[in-house]
Amino acid sequence: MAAEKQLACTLAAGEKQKTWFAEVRRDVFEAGKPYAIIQADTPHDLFHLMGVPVVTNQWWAAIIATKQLSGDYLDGLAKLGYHEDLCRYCSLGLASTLIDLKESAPWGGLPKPAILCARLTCDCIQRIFSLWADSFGAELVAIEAPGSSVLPDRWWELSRHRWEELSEPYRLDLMVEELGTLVRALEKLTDRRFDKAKLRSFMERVNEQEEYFEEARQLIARAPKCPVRISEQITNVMAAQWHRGTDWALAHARSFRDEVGQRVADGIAACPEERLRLMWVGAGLWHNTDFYTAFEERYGAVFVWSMYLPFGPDWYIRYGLDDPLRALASRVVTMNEVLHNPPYAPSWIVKEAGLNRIDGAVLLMPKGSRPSASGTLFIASALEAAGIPTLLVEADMVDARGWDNEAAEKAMVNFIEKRLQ
Amino acid sequence: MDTVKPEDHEPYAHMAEKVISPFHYFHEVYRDRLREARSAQRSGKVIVGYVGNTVPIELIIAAGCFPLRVAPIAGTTANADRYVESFTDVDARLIVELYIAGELDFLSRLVVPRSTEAYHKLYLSLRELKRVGVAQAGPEVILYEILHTQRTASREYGLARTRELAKRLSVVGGSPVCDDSLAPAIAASNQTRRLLARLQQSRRRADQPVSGYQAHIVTGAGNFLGRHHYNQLLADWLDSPQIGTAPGPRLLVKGCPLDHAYLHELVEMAGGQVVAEDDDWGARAAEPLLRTEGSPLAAVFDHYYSEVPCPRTFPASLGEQWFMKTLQAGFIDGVVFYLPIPDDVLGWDFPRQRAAAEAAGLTWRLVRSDVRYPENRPAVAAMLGKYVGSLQPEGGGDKKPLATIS
Repeated sequence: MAAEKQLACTLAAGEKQKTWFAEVRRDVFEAGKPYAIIQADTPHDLFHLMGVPVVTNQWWAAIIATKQLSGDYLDGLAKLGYHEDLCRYCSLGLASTLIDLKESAPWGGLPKPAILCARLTCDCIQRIFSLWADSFGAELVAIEAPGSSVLPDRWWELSRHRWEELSEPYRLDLMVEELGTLVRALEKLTDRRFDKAKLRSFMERVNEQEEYFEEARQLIARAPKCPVRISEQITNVMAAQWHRGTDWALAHARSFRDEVGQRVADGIAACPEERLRLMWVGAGLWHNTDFYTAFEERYGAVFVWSMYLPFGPDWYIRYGLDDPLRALASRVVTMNEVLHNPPYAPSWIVKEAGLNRIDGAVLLMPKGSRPSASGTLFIASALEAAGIPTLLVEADMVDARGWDNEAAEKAMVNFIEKRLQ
Repeated sequence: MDTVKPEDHEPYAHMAEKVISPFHYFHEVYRDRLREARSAQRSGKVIVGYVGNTVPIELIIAAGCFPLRVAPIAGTTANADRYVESFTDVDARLIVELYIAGELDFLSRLVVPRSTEAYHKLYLSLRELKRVGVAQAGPEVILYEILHTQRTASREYGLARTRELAKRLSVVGGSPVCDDSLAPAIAASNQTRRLLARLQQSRRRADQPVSGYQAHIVTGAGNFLGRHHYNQLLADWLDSPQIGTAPGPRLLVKGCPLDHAYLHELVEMAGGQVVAEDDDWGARAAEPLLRTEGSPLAAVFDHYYSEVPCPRTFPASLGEQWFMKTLQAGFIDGVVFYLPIPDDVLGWDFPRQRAAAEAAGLTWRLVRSDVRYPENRPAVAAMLGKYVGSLQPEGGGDKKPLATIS
């Protein structure tokens, strides 16, 4: 049984997603307005600024998985000749376009976008998005993803004020050019002029939003017991992140901060019997978020941390916005490396484990989504070296077909009893 | 599985014995891939290792260094598996293992290109292994950034990175990489390609063609030999009477680059011939020539940026031109798509390429098993046996493009 929602904010965030998507569909079908399908690591800010609603590929995949439809879509892909070892997280949205589940399609399905956008990170993403754009007959804007060779391990100490130092100057220059290509495509699409001053004020609003999350993150980390389960942290944070910089997102981030603060002030814990504090490393287990609460009653083991809340303030905030496009480029250029690869990810997660008084870490190893899984062993190794026991869970974040709940729970029980108690 | 095919190339032994001595030499170099470079290093040569097929080796040669492609295909991965996930490309896992074990310490540098995401992860992993002290020594690892859209900014970016690499290699080798030193390096590379083009032609002879297995070994050995030495050996071998093979149904292999010869062997055991591979270990190594007009550095860069096979070339249709042309070339009887586990990239192209093969009137088979592992070979051999049989003129029968081995 799904855990009850403890925060009013969570219900509001869920409702917002549904009503917003219905509005997008209505605007596209009835008013012919453009919208975009884009990757999570692309600069949403530019789309928002230019008035183009965005459906984030990974958000849509999570919706599909939550509705237990991933198996139908992925089986459909296999029937079309796409073999079973191809990346699932990023391709579930494509599958939902290629395979018609009729009335079962989540929330009525995706209408035709005017534009798609992806960074050329892993080798498969250009293929997925090209197929997707072709199937819609829509334009694809591909953004280069130059590889990093400057590797600051304590990147969070640079990202807010010294972001110029995060990457090689030439990579930043290139990314500014790449964003310029996207801007031109959006100008053409919307018949609007890009305004740098407006981007600056938009990014200031994003900073403000992330500052609320920073406060919430500190409240959660320092509370004697975790006041908000990670499933609710994620729902609230990501709903706002996908709409970042908008009035709704700012208001929602503020409400979330306030509600978390009130719970802490009132001494409310998500699980009053909390005895063990766990961190979930990796993407969400979208097809089975109940897993996060399955060990509370028996062991008092509470997942108190996932990357989604703290990554916002640590990575998105950019102060010093004289050149807002360059600041935005600095956020885009190394996003994947920071989340997954050494030395960025291990050092950050070890730091977060300390801040959150973590007893044990559970790491998702999605073999069907290699870009997300690569680097996991370095993270595990760093956590163990820091004295944090780790458990690797081999599972896909969106594909429930290979999920063995009994085996996963057994592994968790073994982990808790043998290494955490 | 922490060991990749421990018996190495033993299954080839019966084939190597049948062929003439120069081939045996190529075979030995192909099998023991570090041998020639180690020998050169002992003689005082500076060895620069590189990974993949998009590192401009002409720069390494121009710097006075010996370019060695680091491309292990067998060995343990026990240490690497503690840090690199098991689904990572096998070559990357093996390289990590060599790096940790100190087997690459004789290299002055190791250049890793961004021609696949796996290689970028490899670069990051090697850097991290050194940072945290798992790899005690190990050569400095250089990332050679090559972008993939064909936009002006991407080209300019890549050209700048190529200039930087040239500067770094000049220091490493002690000889400046400049127009004067690049011109002969380009000439040597073009000579290699001309010779390999002759080899490709000899694979398509109606009578006694050079076998696909032989061609693959001879082509691949070039990655592990000094360029001039290789050119001389290759020219001599092509001029000598080669042992041809009986003509059989001619297959094009498309998919993951074949850095080993097991699939060729299985096809020949089935009575067929691999006459072309859409990868740099095979037919694509023979073309195109590097430009000899204008800036040599730009010519080198342009070649690796947009002319060699690379799974990240965008749009993908650019990278598929050779395949589409070859389907129509008239010397192909069928297509084998080779997409072994853990492929998670090229499978996206398969339905479209399969349709293209069918549109060209060709049947195809899909192999999903990695035939470097002995346990996977019997099933693939059986499938290929049936398929090749179906392609024999008198065979008739099976023309339905349906089989999948996994």
